[in-house]
Amino acid sequence: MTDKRKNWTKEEVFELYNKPLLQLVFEAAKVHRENHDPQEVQVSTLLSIKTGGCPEDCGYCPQAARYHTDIEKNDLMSVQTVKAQALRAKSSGSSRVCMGAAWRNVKEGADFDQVLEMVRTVRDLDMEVCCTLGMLTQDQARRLSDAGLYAYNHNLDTSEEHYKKVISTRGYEDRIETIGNARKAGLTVCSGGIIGMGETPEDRAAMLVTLSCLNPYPESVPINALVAVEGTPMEDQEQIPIWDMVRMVATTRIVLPKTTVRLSAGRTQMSDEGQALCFMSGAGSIFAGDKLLTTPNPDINKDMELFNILGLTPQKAYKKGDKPEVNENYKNSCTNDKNEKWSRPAHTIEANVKATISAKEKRKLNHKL
Amino acid sequence: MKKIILSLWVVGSSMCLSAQSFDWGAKVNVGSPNVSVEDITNLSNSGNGGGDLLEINDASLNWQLGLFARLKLLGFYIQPEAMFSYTNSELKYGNESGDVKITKLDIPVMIGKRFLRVFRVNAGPVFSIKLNQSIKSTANEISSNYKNTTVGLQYGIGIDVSKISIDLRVEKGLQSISNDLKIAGETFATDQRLNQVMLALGYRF
Repeated sequence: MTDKRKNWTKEEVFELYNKPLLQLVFEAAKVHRENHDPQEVQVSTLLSIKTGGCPEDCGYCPQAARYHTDIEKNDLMSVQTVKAQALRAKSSGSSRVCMGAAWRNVKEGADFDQVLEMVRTVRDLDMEVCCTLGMLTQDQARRLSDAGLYAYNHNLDTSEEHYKKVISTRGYEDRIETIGNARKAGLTVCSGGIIGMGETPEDRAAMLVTLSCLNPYPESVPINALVAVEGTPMEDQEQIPIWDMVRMVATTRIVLPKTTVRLSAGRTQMSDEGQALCFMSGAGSIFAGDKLLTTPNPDINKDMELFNILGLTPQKAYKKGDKPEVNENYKNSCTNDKNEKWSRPAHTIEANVKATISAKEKRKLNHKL
Repeated sequence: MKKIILSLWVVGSSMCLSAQSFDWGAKVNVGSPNVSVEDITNLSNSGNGGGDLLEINDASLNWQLGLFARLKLLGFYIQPEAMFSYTNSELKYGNESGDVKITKLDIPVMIGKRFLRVFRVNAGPVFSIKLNQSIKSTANEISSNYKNTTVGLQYGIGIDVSKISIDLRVEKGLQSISNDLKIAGETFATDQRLNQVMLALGYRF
């Protein structure tokens, strides 16, 4: 994106976020209409290709091995299953498939080779393919790009400051680096965050400033509302009001005018009217499917009903960018650098420690029963 | 497998020629194994209470069945054994778990000394040859390449009454039985060592 950039300060974004709500929605809607077709919303499908067993300690995540949650764990999906799921998603209006694996970072080997085949297979179905696989080196990004990947998702999650209160097993700077690696490989970038994790509105503004400092801007910014899952350190977090979501979508829209703002997790808790306001404020995508990785998601028929009421149509694939070509070189790793270089801050987050200890006690109890 | 037993037999028989006396028999061991696991990469140790996410729960008892020979030599005795051994343990990483079953042939070569006619003390190396391994996990894949051969140390005491011998023995792993462990897509560099206390009952033919 080569449009002129505005250097947003945290104060400016904060001020924007706190504008009278309807004024903010109006301004966002204007920016949205100048830069996007407001009648079109992309339907994306998020596939959890590998669930659970993650070594990280993200306070919001039910997939961390250390917390005791009720999720159904799954080993890496087969390419055939992914293809079948992608075809099903396509037939119900999805034009983008995002594949998520609960990994800390990508490791060379059979599993990664399998993911590369999944990318190629789904790309051949004329769908946009996005992956979220954790931290990524430049050569891994290159291989994904060669296999036909369109976008790489790596969320900032929250502001740099609040990040330290949520995750202790990896550093914010590694996230920025991964985004940079995806960018260098020619992938489009999808990076956003989760609101409702106990952060302040200033943190939300700070995250948007960090995103607005990426050059070029990220093509996609997913905005999630925390779904508090029992067993995670954030199980007792209160659900955020829909108004916070509307404000966040609208502010993102104004700060990043050309970016696709993706209404992501937490939609089950949102009313139709609330979602309509989000679309009005610039949300250009929703995630479809029974589950969003592990949290509940509205039924696709209900979503299509809402689209009908609002006069929205699902956006076609590759509307905002060219379909990537496949380069057979994706099969070859071009680096010998197999050493993990990602950081591990390892500071203590009390809520995470507490949830880990309580998970251990629960497991012991289950073992005895 | 057959070759190993045969070669043991040949070694035993040839030693027998120069030995003052030669006995052989069958024995059964009951062991209480304990595999220790150390995460060398420190992947599970984040400083956030996840330090001991990686753990192994061993089956309370394992069984070994096999043959032994005993040859007396210059006031000492040498006792090579060939024991089929089966271990079953549970590998855990937080919410992930898998059953690890390993069958192996253990070959202790004990050097011992008898005193007061019935008592014995002995010590020696134990060579383990892996015959089979299987890991069954519930959801996410767990795999570990257990080494084909490892060396340990055994030492203990025993008594002989008529044709029956009873031994109490300790085994200490001198090597890691596996250097890697892959759980749910995460690869750990591990040090896994087998230590156990065994009670053996033998019968000399």
